[in-house]
Formats: sequence, C-alpha cells, structure tokens
Amino acid sequence: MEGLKQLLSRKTRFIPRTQAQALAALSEGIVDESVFIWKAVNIHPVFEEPWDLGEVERLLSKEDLDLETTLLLMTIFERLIRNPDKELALFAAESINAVEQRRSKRIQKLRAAGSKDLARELRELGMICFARPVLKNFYLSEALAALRSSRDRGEGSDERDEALEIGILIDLHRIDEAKTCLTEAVAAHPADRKLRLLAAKERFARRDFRGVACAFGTAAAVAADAAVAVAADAAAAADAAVAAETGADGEYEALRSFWSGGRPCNE
Amino acid sequence: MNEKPRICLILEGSYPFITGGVSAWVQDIISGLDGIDFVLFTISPQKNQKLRYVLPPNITEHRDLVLGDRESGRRSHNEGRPAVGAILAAHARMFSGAMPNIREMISRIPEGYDLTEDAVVESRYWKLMQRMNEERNPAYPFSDYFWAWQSAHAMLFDALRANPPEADLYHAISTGFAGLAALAASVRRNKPFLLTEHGLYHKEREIEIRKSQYIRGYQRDMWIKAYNRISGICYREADSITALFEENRQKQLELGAAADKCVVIPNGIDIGRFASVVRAPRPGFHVGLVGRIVPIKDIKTFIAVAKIVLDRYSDAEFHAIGPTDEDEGYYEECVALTESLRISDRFHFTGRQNVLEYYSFLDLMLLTSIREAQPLVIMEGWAAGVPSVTTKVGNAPEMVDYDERFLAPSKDAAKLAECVIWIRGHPEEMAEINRANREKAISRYDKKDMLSSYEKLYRRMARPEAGKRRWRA
Repeated sequence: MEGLKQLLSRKTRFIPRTQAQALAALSEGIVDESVFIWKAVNIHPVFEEPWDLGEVERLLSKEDLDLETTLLLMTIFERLIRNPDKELALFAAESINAVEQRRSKRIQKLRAAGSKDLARELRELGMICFARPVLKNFYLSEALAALRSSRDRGEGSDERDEALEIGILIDLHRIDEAKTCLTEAVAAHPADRKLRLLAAKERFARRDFRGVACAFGTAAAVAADAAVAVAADAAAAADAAVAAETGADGEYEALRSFWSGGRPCNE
Repeated sequence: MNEKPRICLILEGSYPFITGGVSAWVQDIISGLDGIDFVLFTISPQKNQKLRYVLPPNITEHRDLVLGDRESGRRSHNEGRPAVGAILAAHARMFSGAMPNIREMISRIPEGYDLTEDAVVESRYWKLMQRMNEERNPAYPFSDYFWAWQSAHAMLFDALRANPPEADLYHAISTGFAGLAALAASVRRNKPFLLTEHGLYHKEREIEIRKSQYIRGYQRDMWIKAYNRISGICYREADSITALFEENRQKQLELGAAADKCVVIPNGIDIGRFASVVRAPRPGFHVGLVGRIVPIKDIKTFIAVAKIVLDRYSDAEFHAIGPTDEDEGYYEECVALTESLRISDRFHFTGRQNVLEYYSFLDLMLLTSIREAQPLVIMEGWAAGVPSVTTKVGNAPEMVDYDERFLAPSKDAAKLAECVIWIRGHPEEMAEINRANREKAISRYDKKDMLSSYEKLYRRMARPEAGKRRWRA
C-alpha cells in the first residue's frame, strides 16, 4: 500500500472502484501497479459484513438486475433496515421501495401489453418480498392468476409454464394442487428434467425425504447428458434422506440446508 | 421599513405546487402571521404548474424560477467577466481544502446573469474543467465528464442568477437551490438570510442518487459532493438556522453551522381544533393512517399489518385516510392487495376527508412511512386523544420517548401489528398514556408557539440594521 507521501505526490486523485477499472487505469498509465494489485487482492464479498455499501449501491444502480443479484441485495437491505444507524436504515428502506417500484412499473407495463411474461415477473416480485409473507403470497397469487387467465384465453402453455405454475403452487404451500399439476405435467413431458426436480421440491415440502431422493434419482435417469452431476446430487440426497429417517435431531435442518445450498448435508 | 416586514419565502419543489408536510407548514406560517407580508420565490422543474393551495391574502407577490430555462437569463460575456476571477479563486480555495469566500464570489456575479455559456466560452473555466477531469476521472472520456458537469452546474447557475422579489429577509425552506438563491439575494441586497429545514436536503438527495439508475459511476460522487457542499455553504452563510428537532440540528452543526445561530423550533398544530374533538368510539377497534396513498407512506405495510391483526381480531377496522390520485398505479395495487387478502370489507380507502371526523372514533393511528421529519399526524392524534404507533423515522422515536411499545423498524409489519395488538389489549394503561400524550401535544407542539417563535425571529432579523451588520462583518 502506498505511503502518505506517495499518495500526496500522485498526479491523479482517481481511485478505481472495481478490479476492471483498476486494470483499465493501469493499462492507460493512469495508476501504477501497486494500485492495481491493491484493488485486485482486496476483494470484499458483497454478502459479508461490514457491508461494502459502495458495491451495494453500484449493484443497485444497474439496469435490469437479475433475480439472483436482486435477492442478494434484498437480503442485505432486510438486515440493514434494522440497523440502529437511522441513515443506513433509511437507505435500506428506500432501496427496498426502489427495487419493488422498478418491478411494479415493469409489471404495470406487461399487464397493459397483455404480455405472457407477466406471471413470471409477478412470481419474481413475490420471491423478492421473501421477508414479508403477506406481500410475498399476494404477488405469488397474482402470478398464478395471471398464468391461469393467460391459459384460459387460449394463449397456449408449454412445459415452462407448467413448471412455473407448479413452482408457484409449491411456494404458496398449496402442495396437493402442485402434486396434481405435477402428475399431469410429468405424464405429458416424461423427459423434462426440470419437472422431475420440481417433484423433488414438492416432496421436500411434504418432508417426504425418501421421495426427494427418489425424485432426484428419476431426474438423473431422464437426463442422460447431466447424469453424472445429478447422480452425485442424488446420492448425497439419498444419504441425507436415510439419515433423516433415523430421526436424529437436526437432520431435517441438515437436509434443508442441502436443499437451499445444494451441498451434501450429513457430513 | 414599514410596520409590516416583508419576508421572501424561497421554496424548491414544494408549496404551493405540491401538497405534503412542508407545504402545509408554509401555508400555516403564512396564514397564521397575517401581520407580515410574504412574497414567494419558487424554484420549479417546469413552467405553469397547477397551484395546490389557495394563496392567503398576505402573499403580495409570487415569482417562479424554472430550472433549466435558459431563455430567462442575460448573457453578455463582458458583464460576466468580473465573476471569472472570483469563481476560479473560490474553486482553488475549495480544492485546497480551505473555505471559499462565497459571498465575495456571489457579489461579483450580476443578478439575472446566466453563467452557463461562460463556462464553455471562457478559456480559464474550460481549463479548470479539463484539469478536474484529468485529476479525478482520467479513465473516462472528457465528453462524459463535461455533460455531467454541465447538468450539475447549470442548475447552480440558475440558483445563483435568481432575482427574487425585494424583501426585508430571505427565508429559504431548504438548503439546495432554494438556499443558494436566498444566499445570493441576501448578498446582493444586503438583507439577512434565514434557513429552515424540515428534513435534511442533502441527505434526501444523497439517498435519491444512491438508489437511482440514471446517475452512474463517478457522477454519483460528483452529485453527492455538490449537494453536500451546497448545504455546507448554506449552513455557514445563513444568518440564522432553524431545525424541527435536535437530532437534525446536530447534523447541521456537523456540516459547518455555528451553534449560536441554530435553533430548534418544532412543528405545531392547532391545539384548539384537535383537542375539541368529541370522542365517540365505535364498536370494534379502528386503526387509521392519515397520509397520501404513495410508496413513501408504505401503505402496503399498513395493509399487511391489517391482515395480521384481522387474523386475530376480526372486529378490527382499518382506514387509509388521504388522497389516492398521486400515484394511481400504487393505489390500484394496494386495492388489489386488500382484495387478494380478502380484507376489503374491513379496510377502507377513504380518499381526502375531514380528519376530525375520524379522530373522533379512531382507537389508534398508525404511521408506516419510510421517511418523515416530525409528523404532524402524531401530534394531531394526541391532541384528539388518539395514540400512535410509528416506524422509527425522523423525529418519531423521540416523540414517543423511544417507547418500544409504539415503535417498529420500517416495513416490519409483524412488529407493528404486535404494537397494535398490545394497545388493544391494554385499554386502562392506554387511557393514562393518552392523557399524557395530550399534555405533551399541548405543551410542546402548539402552533401558537411556533408562529410566535417565527414572528419574533422575522421581526428581529428583518430590522433594517440586521442585514447591514451581518454584511459589514
């Protein structure tokens, strides 16, 4: 790191914000190697406290944020909103509102245009509101209604829509309905791996852990090209399921962690 | 000076075009001080906006400056030449970390004179801009920097050339462009400058910039710094500063305001009007929210609270009392939410109403806003005998003495519902608390006290010698 003297004698006050920016600045001769090395090795993951608010803000300003990044940001904001520092809490609350407003505006446009993407967008907003169950269920219900009304209008439906519907039903904890839809969808598209994975999710929602392993196994069987990876998952899940069946304390939590993180859980 | 002081209120993005807390406060001040003449100087984003208030008769003149209206400014390079040296000197001092002599700089800029073209034509400005870009943003093209600089400075130049009506005192109701315009008038006309802040302008702008998608990269820092500097200048140069509560006063001090010129004058309500409400409780448990149906009031959280409470007490009833036409898309979503939750028979969007009728039977006021300064509705409710539960925003926590029974973090519907349920379950304790709240409203938040404080301040500051003394100093 530069000493104070060096810092003061630099001809530029430019401080690169990202590694890419540091690299560009180095190649242009604006900063020297030490600045690039400092920026390149000082990587602070965005999802780690103390929060890197500059990075959070940079992500927030991006147009068309993907769902995964949005969920990450919302998790940070949901924690920040309880911060005793009122300014930080206000920033978090305003940011949550901003994210929701952006999505709401998109939804209003899709609704006005009668777009088929409306249901998908509503479901994503439901997922974004994960910390507020009332709003989450509202958006998920709206998504389901939009999907079904689009189908009732005869706009056609493919396995993607079916998977979306089943996913929403599971998120809404309407498991029996999800199972009925799933059975029909699997019968119509027996080779669809996504539907098989949804079957695992549906069984997981019922805490039918042996069923989860079984569904993974079937998914592995139908997806020849991804067989190795899926089988590894299935084996891990089967182990977890067996362990869970023994009734040992904490195994359910372990399996839950497997499901959310996709990693073997009973080690 | 005649008996009636003439006060120029300088406002940006509020009264008389936009409704809300600040505008209601301005209307109260003007109509409550009929022994004082007011002139308005408003700073607007566009021409011919619709008036949302009936202007009281003691407003004798209203002038509107439209930001970005390049036609209304004078341009003559010779006329602007004396300003060049002063502006460059101010920048040089600023970059070296010293305080620029803003008063000296403003005094060299002729009133009504538009500096925008000089910034491009005058080679010394151009060089300054180039140097700034090379120093601070060398990784970006100069054209990016130029347009960012241009858009930020064009509004500053508008504020600096402002020619508000003649007055004995210039009173800005925020820092920002209103504050700068007040400072410019104060310097050029040798009159005092009073600054009042409800929220903190630079903090509000900073949050807007941070969550925005249209200002990117280093330009964010440029805008945030610009707003902070403007607020700092206003705090340092104002002859007197008022804040609504101590926490905000402390923040003003942090940014350079001198302690001896900062005072707290809290908001006030017409105690007689609200205390005279005759309570006529209705069957069930009635919860109200008084405010516009807009995202900043977070009505969706209010609806979520209603759902949680109704699941437990089906006789509860909820009233969202306020205009629904400001963000119709949001209002429609809120209505759909109540329908989807099947609570629309217990949740009412009343539209604009006489709140006194509601204060007569409401059992509780809920405030779910994500941003507030010092909410009048809490005071009104207290005076009328209605308790409040509020999010931890602005001065609200201090108002309720940091009592967690009445406080929740923003957007926390579960905690807010818990507070509502606690209040419902403790009527005797609440009767005592309501009495104390009413006393608090009467002793701390009487509009008469607020008006009297401002009248004294106006009369003291608007004395002919007041401005000269400051200017000579």
